[in-house]
Amino acid sequence: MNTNILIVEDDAVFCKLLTRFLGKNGFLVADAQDGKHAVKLLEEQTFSLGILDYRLPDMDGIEILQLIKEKNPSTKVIIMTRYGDEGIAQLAIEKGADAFIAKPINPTELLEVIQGI
Amino acid sequence: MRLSISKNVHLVEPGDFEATEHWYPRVLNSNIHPLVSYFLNLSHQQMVERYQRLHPSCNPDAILKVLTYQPTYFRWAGTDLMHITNHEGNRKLAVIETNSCPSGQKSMPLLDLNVEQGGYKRLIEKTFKPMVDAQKLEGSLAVIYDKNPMENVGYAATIADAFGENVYLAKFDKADTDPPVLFKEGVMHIRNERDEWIAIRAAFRYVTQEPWTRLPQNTKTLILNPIEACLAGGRNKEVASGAYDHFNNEFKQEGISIFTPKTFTKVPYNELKKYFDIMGGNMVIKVPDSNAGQGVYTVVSEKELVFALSQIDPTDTYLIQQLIHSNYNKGLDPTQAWYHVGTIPDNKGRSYAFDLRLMMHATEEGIRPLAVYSRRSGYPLNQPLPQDMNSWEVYGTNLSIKGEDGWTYADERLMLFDIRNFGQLGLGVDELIKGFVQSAMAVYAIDQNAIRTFGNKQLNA
Repeated sequence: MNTNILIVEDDAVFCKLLTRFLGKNGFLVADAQDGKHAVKLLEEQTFSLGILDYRLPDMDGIEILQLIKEKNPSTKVIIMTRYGDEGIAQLAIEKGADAFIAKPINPTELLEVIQGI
Repeated sequence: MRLSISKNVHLVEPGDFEATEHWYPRVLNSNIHPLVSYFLNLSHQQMVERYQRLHPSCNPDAILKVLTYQPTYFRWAGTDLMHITNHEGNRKLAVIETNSCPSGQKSMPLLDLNVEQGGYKRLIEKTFKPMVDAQKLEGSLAVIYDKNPMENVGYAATIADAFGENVYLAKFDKADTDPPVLFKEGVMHIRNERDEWIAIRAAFRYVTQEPWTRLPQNTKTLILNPIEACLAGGRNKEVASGAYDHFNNEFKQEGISIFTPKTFTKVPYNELKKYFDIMGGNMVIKVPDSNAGQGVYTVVSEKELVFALSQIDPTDTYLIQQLIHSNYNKGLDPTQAWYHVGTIPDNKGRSYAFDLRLMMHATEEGIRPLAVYSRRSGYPLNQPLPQDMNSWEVYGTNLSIKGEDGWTYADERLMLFDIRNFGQLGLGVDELIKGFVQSAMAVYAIDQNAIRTFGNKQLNA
């Protein structure tokens, strides 16, 4: 698979672990730990998939979702929400997210979600 | 593994250990130097016999007492040593500092190629697990950390395997206003995905930035290492210096002592200039509780003194240490001056200052060496320092680099104890034994200081 993925998540360890895991599964992965870096990466390149945390220090995942879709409507987006944040998941879908996944995240389950969209 | 069960908390499961995640890439492809492997397998008795051959006036029973010591608080430690020489060519391994959350696993080639988890497994199985198994405590297991995820994810995965249960991996940052770790009546708790606080029976701790601001003393949760180890000198150079002095006084008659560069403690800011003059226009200024190379200033000129003074707090006191010089200088006091032995000159003639990081752990048989690596300076000892260059480039060996996006490291200066790098250091088994004995004495000194300060109780009981 030749999917390049942008992970936006402010937990550095999460980013690293997920980046390595997806890298081993054949994806090209870039990561950003805040909205500012995510926007910079989006200006520099086009991604086929964004995996976005909803809660970020400077923006929220919905704002980044909208930027992604404005730039390239064919980019798929998965929003990661906290356990119990069903309202946010619903909002993300309404705003154009292709899927959501609730934390905690099992990397293997995430892989199944990626393959399903 | 279950990622992000709550903010900055992950749940590590048995079977999650991935070797490629917990060593630097070049270490994965390295082979330990046979001489280093030989050293790591020496018995205490062999080391004592050899140390006494090298230091005939020392009492071997005193060295054995130190090496077989069972620390109460300080059961995992790392020392930074420097290989130095004097006017007469007497070489020593000098203790520069002792650390209660030492890094090093990711830089250590496997001692046994058939044991994939290497030093992680030795530390967890021979130090952490016996401590936990010896006490009937209830609750979960955790790794709490504020730096070095490469090693800490490795420790969490190794603990998960060793105990056959899930391990909470929680980031416990100094600046976090809503941390996922808290203490209730001495018991550590970690926040789970339901915002519930889970009691922790034992935790492996790699919290380095002013850990006393968030870890209490005398916890009911068993912690390796407890905060008492930091307060007694494991994370305070000034307190450690006092502990070494106490040790040297206690063991004076036995012919052994901890060797450090000449040190002055509690020096007020406004007296730093006076010390600079007394010490001959060069010295090292250290912020007592600093680490990772931050808060350490090598000063060899008025300009560098002015710079150092501009960087530190005028209301604090400082630790002043004699500078280990780069090159022989006729003007220096031959009874006091020490020089870096330096690396073996490379094919361009460059020799660099280096330190030796020696990680140790308390086992059933006493204190054992666990991991070793070296770091060299950025600029050679034997070339004139360019006018605009700071002397730290010649003397500083720490690899941590604080950047805009967090911490990184200078890989090109990491010297592995493998078949490729180790020879460049010019060290032999005798130096490794000397360095280990010095390091074990430092651990003994700090642990005894903790006992004098906090009492001789069982760990966290």
